[in-house]
Amino acid sequence: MVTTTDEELMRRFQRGDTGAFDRLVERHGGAVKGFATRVTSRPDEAEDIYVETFVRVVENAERWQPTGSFKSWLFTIAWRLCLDSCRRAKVHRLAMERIKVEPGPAPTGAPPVSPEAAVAAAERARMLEQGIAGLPEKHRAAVMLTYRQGLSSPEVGEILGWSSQEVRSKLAYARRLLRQHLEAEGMTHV
Amino acid sequence: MSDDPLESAFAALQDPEPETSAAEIREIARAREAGVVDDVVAEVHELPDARQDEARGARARVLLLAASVALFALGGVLAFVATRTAVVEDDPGQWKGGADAAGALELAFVVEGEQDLLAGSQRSVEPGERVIFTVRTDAPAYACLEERVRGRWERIHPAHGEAWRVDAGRHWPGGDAPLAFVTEHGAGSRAYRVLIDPEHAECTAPVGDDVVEVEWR
Repeated sequence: MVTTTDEELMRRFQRGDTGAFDRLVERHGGAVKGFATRVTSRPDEAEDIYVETFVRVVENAERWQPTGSFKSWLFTIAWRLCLDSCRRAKVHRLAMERIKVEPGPAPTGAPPVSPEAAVAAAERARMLEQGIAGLPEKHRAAVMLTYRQGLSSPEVGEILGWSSQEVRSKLAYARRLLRQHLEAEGMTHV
Repeated sequence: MSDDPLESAFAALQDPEPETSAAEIREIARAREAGVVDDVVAEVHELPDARQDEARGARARVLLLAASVALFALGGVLAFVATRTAVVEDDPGQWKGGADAAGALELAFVVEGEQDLLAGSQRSVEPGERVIFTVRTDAPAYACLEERVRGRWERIHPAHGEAWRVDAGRHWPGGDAPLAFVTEHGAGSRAYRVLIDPEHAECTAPVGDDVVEVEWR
């Protein structure tokens, strides 16, 4: 099956195809909200950041140029909104309790998992969420953009204002913290 | 799927479901473009009310603009003072000073070299140098300074069983004899956190925090 690229959808939206915009929201909305939730540690603001991010996509659609990936542009907007949110209120001490880890359905096409495996996966996700919440906010953004969104070091660097080398260095630091956290929580083989 | 267990764990995370539909987002953008609403958090069904408030909002925006200009000028002065005192700061945090008074909380640091205090935005700390952390609050509280070590926050100041009481303004550990700090955990980037607790010397019920990162060479 041929999947329409984000950039093609954006070009269609520029030509007035609102359905193309809706597909972009459908494709990336959850990821943007998840990014905002984890970077700000403020799930209560994540919905607003998600909405504002896509509102700005609409507002700036005419000026958008396909020189880089749509996803990089989208998460640059989201990151700046997250920063604004963090500046307004940097109270995230209760982040770990506030982030709800709700086990969702298995990905389409995935083999069925046993209840034990599902419980173990949910527990692993909960511990990882805790570990992410314990990172400095810019490191949280870096790991989410890299490991959740699959962006390259240059793309992450452009969003966060780091060189590619800095991104790799910060990721190594964040990974070390996460591994230490997961091992301290009893999770092995990380 | 990646062979890396950590990356696989990331892939298994669940994203929260957005509540606002794409159509609603387009409607918000359209309404904003038309000058109906300025605030994206306004619900779509509230737009008619927002239209009625438009004239009143315009007057408020004029006042807001004037206040913004004044704040911008004040910010410039504060930025100049911060630069002159060689303080390396990150974004200020917020906390509740007391029952309902909102205040600011900032953790920053200066680098102390062999001869003098050293300036520089986000500079790293070279071997032989030390850092002096500074904390600024808008209200009296107990403060606790911590270092992130092996995934856990460890106390730097005050020692357990002791108290570090700060009033409104800028403070540093040690008072008249500032605590010059060097990590015991080698080179690398490390996070430091200040906790604020209005009632407990051990910061057991913190109402705010702020984090900075120090790059140790």
